[in-house]
Amino acid sequence: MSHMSRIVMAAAGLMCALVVAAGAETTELSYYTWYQSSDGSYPANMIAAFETKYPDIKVNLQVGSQNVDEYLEMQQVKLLSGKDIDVTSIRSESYGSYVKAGYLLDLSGEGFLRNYNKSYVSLVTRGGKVYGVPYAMDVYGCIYNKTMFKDHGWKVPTNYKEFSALCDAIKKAGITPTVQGYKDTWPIAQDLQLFMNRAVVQDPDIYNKIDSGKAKYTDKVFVDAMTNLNAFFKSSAVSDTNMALTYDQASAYFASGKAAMLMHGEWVLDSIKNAQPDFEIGVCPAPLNNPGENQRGVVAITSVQSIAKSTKHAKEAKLFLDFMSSPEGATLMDRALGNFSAVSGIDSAKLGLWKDVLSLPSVDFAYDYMYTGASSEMFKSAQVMFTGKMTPLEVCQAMQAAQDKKSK
Amino acid sequence: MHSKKRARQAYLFMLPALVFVVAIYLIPFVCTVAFSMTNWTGLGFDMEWRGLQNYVNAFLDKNFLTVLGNTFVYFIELVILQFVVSITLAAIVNGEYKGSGFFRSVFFLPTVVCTIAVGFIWNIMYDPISGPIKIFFDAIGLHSLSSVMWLSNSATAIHSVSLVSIWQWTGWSMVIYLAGMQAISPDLYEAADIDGVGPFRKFFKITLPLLAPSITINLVNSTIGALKMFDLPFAITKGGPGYATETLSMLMYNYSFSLNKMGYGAAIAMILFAIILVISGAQMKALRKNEDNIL
Repeated sequence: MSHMSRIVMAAAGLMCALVVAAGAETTELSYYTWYQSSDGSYPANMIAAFETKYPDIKVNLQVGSQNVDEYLEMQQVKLLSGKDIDVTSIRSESYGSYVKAGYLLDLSGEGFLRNYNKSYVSLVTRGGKVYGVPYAMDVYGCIYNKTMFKDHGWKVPTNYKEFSALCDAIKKAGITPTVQGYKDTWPIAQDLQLFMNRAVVQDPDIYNKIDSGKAKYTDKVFVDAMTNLNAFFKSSAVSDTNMALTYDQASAYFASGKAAMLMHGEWVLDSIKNAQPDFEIGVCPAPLNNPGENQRGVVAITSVQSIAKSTKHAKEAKLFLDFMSSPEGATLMDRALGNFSAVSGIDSAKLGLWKDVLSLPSVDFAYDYMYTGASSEMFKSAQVMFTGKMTPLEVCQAMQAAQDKKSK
Repeated sequence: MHSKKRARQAYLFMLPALVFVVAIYLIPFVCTVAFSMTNWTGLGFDMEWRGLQNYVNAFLDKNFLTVLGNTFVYFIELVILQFVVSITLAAIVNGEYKGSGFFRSVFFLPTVVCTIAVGFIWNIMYDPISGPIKIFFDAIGLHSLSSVMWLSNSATAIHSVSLVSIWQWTGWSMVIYLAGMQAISPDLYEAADIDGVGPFRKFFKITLPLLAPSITINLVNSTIGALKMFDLPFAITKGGPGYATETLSMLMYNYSFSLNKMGYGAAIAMILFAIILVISGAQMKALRKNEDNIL
């Protein structure tokens, strides 16, 4: 073959390669989420691993605001317009309304759902169908200063009576027993869980009954919960600065060793660790139960990963969810974030601290399935109750009034 | 013929601005009025006509009435106190003496700080455990004041937020009054000096009346700003404790975007619009009349 012929053949081969490359289509998926580890590595590393496995699919990551309201607003705009959103992380409290509005793709029967515990999948089932994967769990308990407990010989409480007695002992030692960031309103729910979980334990369907009018927030179980919360706030078990502290300030207060206990979930540990406490952190089940009653571990599905119904790349989006639901994808999440992965069989380092809580029969968060209007009113009215300007019954009446507005 | 051509040209030049005003102001306004009469959630396009029911529900809602009251408290405190403080500061820094330029800058500085950042800063200032205000009161022995939880006590929270707003915007008003004062002819003060008029009488009889246009601008601006306040209480207290510091703008935001009651939120927006229109309109009329009488 002549020299010129070789050049022509090589050029033709290059042209063919370029044509083939241009013809090989890359599908781009838009992934809108609030999840991002503090060092930014996740979910970038998870996406990189997915793209390595599926080179023809590119994921355009969009990290939304960490402020809940801002994130929800942007998400609603994207879902409503159907633009720039294929896969998205949905907060558990929004999931139901998005399903109702028809924004999400039906994932019932998809293979990746088998990677999850059936009871977690049932929590994301609506009308017999599944519209998302139960991606991350929150676990709630009593976070305590283990070093302080050891130094003073205090024992971890196993019921509410022991918890009350322990708070008295801690107070006598000149230390604040518990602290909470009531100024940010939502942390009020973390103390309220101590008393309101009884409603969920007695009747796991309570919030559906409230929605249908068969139960009310003015029923005894809720009024008792609010009365007990008010008494708890006024007791010496609670820091007298709770009303003035934000969530971050309360975490810092605990981390500085000024308070012995903090009722919260695993999400607060990062905040505490960033404040560099000089003590060992311990976690025990929250003392929800009375003496003689069984202890329970409080667990909730905190976020759902779903596919927008408007997506033009359903097949690729399902592959992405499949990867996230795999042990490889889920492990990356578990290592990076404070939440637990709901995927079965993940070997989580966090499990050690929360082992005792997760080993117990679980009950859902007391406020997770409340209508947002009622929970919002609950937080605000509880703040007013703490200032002495509302009674517990009036708070429950305000919550019911907000609930009644839901259908108006 | 020539004037018709000129008129056509004028309209052509106005067209882009007109399109902008219609697209950004008029259409959204009409949509808001329409949505305020529906039960639109803001999700999807399903909605039912409700007529004036949202407006009726608002005035029957105890929380709405509380928040309406808060809005008026902010309005009265901000307008009156900001007026008094800013005109006093303008009178003090008006004049060429050593340090006057420095003080003008210092008083104006909070205006250029982003309101959200101001909110965060003052959250720290009011911190009941280690905030500078607590430390200051402890240092001067006023322990009864150092133990006050300014932002979480419903009796003090709203006034604490008002104070921050006055701190932030007084400098802006001061600059406008300063410009007005410097436009007053010195001959008037010289004549007053000759007549033996004292400084207070000079201020009330010469300065204040001739500041009428500046007063009009400042009062109307601070009225509108106070009535539609959102960012500062949102940053400092999120409307708490309870509803003690919440404003109508915040209530509108919560209903529209957090509680998915866009129709009800739109009704609150229209009520706020009507309040601002009536109050600022009456204010403008009264102040312009006052200006005409004086000038």
